[in-house]
Amino acid sequence: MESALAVENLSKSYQRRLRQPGLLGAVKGLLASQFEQIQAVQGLSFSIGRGEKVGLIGENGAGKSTTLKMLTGIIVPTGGRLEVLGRVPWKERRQLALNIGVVFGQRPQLLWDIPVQETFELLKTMYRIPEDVYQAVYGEALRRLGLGPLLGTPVRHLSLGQRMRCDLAAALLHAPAIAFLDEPTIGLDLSVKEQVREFITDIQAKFGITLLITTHDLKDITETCDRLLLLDKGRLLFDGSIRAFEQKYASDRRIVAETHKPVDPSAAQSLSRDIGNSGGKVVEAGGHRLVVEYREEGAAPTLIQLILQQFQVVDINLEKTDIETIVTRIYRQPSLPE
Amino acid sequence: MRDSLRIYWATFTASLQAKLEYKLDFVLGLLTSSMLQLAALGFLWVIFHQTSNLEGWSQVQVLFLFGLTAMSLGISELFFNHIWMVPYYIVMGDLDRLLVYPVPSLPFLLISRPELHSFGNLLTGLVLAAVSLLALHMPWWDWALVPLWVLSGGVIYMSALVVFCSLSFKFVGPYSYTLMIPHTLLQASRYPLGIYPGWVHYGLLVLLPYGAFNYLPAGWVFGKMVSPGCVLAAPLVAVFSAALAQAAWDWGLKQYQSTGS
Repeated sequence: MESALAVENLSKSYQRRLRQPGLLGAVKGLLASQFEQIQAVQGLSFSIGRGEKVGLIGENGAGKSTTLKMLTGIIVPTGGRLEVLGRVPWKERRQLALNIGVVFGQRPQLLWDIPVQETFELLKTMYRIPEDVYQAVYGEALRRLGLGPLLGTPVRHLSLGQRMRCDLAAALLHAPAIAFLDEPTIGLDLSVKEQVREFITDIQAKFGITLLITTHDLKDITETCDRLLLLDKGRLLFDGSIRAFEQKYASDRRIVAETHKPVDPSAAQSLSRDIGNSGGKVVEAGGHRLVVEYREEGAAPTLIQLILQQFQVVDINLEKTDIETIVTRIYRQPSLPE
Repeated sequence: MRDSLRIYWATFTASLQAKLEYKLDFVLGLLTSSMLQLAALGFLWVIFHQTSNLEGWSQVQVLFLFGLTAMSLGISELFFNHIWMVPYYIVMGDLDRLLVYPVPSLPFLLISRPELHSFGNLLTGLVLAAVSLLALHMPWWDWALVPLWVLSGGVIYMSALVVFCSLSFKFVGPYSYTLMIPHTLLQASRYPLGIYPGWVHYGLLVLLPYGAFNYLPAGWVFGKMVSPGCVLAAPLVAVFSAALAQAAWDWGLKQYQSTGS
């Protein structure tokens, strides 16, 4: 696969002024400032092929935005190599800008005073967008994102959700080779989030755009991406398919059975012995509830059979830890499994 | 180059059009900037109540200085006023969006937020200069040269703002008060520079060369100076200071890029 971007051992550290509390502290800070070194990104290496759809996740301060800013040429790395579409972003920022699309969900990209329609036309000139590409994306944006009623409004009069939709359309208007979307669904309600994801998926598929999305909403990723990068404290903790991610971290699958009679402890013990060979473990047995945990993906039928042999079951459910829970659990862990 | 100019022009006209839709804003802007100019005139009138000339300049001649300065300010506000927002953008990290556009960042930034009260300054300045030239029966070529001086003046003043602004990339603070320095000195430069002590006088000719678009041309118009250099100083200094502004801006962006947000 042709490479869209590659980073190798990428690092970024910067100084932050230390603030002392109170007015006196502020005055002291004016006279003699102390700095602390922040290591925002350290030793990051990965590469993304053309047309790949990649989600970048991590806690606040994990280095997602910093990474994106380095990839778009907005900031200069302190170490390592990076190349986007064959260019070094911070050296050739402007040339690169023609072929990438960027959304910073936290900040508006559009010109504040100009109505949306005119901004689009301006961008058309600016990016030298061919008429057919412009019409295709523009039409799709009108249809999917419902921009029609917003076109005459100056950007500053738009609500957050409206602005976000316009921003996204603007960023993809020139069907860029790569789209960097930093929290494209932040602050949106559920139905708008859905619209935004559909729009991204559609345009991506139509033009084969390489996607790199950062987000805190994992649905953005499960619905639009097939690869996941997990950053933690500036380091890459996981890089692989979403399925591989689930297999690696979602170790526990559960069978939850509701029994007709209260669960007999000795029966539960004997079940525990029986299912041991099939990779199952009774983790809860009390009242009318019996919970069996297992790891192997294909073990469920055998385990269910064994349960049904020993208990009179009213209802049975299979549970799998969803990605949201996995990620939350990873964030909470003080030291992380490498 | 042609492409870039087209983009700048499209951005400028779209922004101006958008601003003009707020009619009250426009009227108020016109009024306040004219009032400010008139207030300065009142002050001038008080001065000339005490003395018949300033360093050999009559009141009507000083009006021409005021006119050139006001029009230059107006040009700068019309085409380049967005620079005033940059100190805030730096602090808020809002400069990012500028850097992901495929156009040269400085001209694009400058052009994309015209200020409506510029028209007040342009208009008042025009009236002042016209009154002065008419009253003193100056020949047609003096009139013809005014646009050259005023456009150059707009560029020179803008360049000064850009240079000071670029400093705030390094010394980040949430206020645009650094920009008040070139702004306040512009107000000072509309009097005959000879009234100031030498270091201010030459400072305003060399370091912050406002004199190139008001003092020198006006001196030439009224026969106080004879060198043709006084006519050409404005455009030459404009070209030079614009290049300097670009260099300062590039330096500033480097600071921004290495500090992150």
